[in-house]
Amino acid sequence: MNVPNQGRLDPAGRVIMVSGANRGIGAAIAARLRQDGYHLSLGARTPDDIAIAAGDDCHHQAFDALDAASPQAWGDATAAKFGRIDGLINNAGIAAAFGFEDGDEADLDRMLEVNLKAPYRLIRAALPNLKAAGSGRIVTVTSLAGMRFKRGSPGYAMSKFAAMGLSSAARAQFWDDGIRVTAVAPGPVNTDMMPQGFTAETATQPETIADIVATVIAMPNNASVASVPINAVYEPLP
Amino acid sequence: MSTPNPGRLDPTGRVIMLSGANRGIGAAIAERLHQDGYLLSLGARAPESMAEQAGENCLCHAFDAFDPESPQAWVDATFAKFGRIDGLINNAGISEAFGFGSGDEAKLDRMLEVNLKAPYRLIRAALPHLKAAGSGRIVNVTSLSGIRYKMGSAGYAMSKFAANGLSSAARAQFWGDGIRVTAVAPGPVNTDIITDLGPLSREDITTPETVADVVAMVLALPNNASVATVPINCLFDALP
Repeated sequence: MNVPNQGRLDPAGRVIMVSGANRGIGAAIAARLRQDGYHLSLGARTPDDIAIAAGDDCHHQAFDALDAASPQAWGDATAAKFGRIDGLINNAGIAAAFGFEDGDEADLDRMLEVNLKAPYRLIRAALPNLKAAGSGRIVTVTSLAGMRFKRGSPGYAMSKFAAMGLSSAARAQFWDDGIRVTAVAPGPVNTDMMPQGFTAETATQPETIADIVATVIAMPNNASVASVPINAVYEPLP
Repeated sequence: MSTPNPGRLDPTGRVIMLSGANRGIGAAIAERLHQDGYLLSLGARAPESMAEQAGENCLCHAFDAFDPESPQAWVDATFAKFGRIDGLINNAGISEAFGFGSGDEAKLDRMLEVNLKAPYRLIRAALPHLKAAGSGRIVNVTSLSGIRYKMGSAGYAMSKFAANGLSSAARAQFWGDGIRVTAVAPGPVNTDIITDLGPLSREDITTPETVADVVAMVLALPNNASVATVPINCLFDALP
């Protein structure tokens, strides 16, 4: 028998949007939240690739982070199907080389669009429903590269730092609406986007990221975690 | 008589570029660095407004953060006059209201251009000279709003977080070239660009001269004493 746990929100009936749900971290998040019993609204450029079948408790949406109108359309479709939105997981992200000695600003702009602006637009689109929910949750999958530069693309770091700023602002501004906002910041993860120098065994697993996301969105309003940095290798900070 | 201090770099002969030098924090930095004896290259949209400072020790040059060609032109003019570049102070910045309600992305784009991309372009243009200098310095005037959001424009915070990312990346990538990079991150500073003080008065908040003193301090730190970030609080914050 299920004993209610005051220290954890009950997933039953809660509707969670997840971007980039067709592969990588997003697919793992979708799978974990499905197991937990959430209703899901899964966005991807190619929704046919989404592993969880669409149905009464799962909505598929063609979501393109490079299309400025796509977030609102997805938010509207989610609200139309379920009548509520309880959470938004800004997971979709891209990485491209962009450095100080060579760097095409088109690549920087694309990373800013997908890693900063699309999450911003999704927050705007979901906000009225998240406020109405009473215990709304926003999780943005940022990166350790958004907290400190260590290696890789400086432009990716800039876009992920900016996403940390988005998360910080949303956390402050929507606290009184009962919305809790968390940045989940992994290092290398075992997906298509895994950086050089790591293997499937040494990088963090997407399922682990999913477990962290699932934990934070179930935390009650009196237990807010602003950011969760996740290290695959030792660092003194963060 | 001046005793050499191995714990401090001698400003003599060192050439420092400074953006947004005509007013606010930039004007205070220019004054302090002039007093310290640096050779200066002052960039501003209207360089003629600084004309009285121009001379053998000081170049006043046009710099427009919205013009992608402007950084290279200014760097080239600086190197042509002085034959070296030892430091770059990315000070010029703007703030516009942009949040979750309004959605006018043109404002966000402007802040990203001035607060992130122009500093990036200046670093890129000055880099060969900073490497050649041996003890090159880059100081980025970012903001506490680039470390944590507390109040004001969410878009400003996003752009200043991005600027801290730029600073972090430059710090890591150019360490081996003897270049040291610092982000100086004030909260509200008493200049023209701050309009909404909330409950604070101008007397309560940080002065531009104080920021200038911090910039001068980090600029003169030797290569074996690197400070990545200097957050400056006029109000109590537990962190940073």
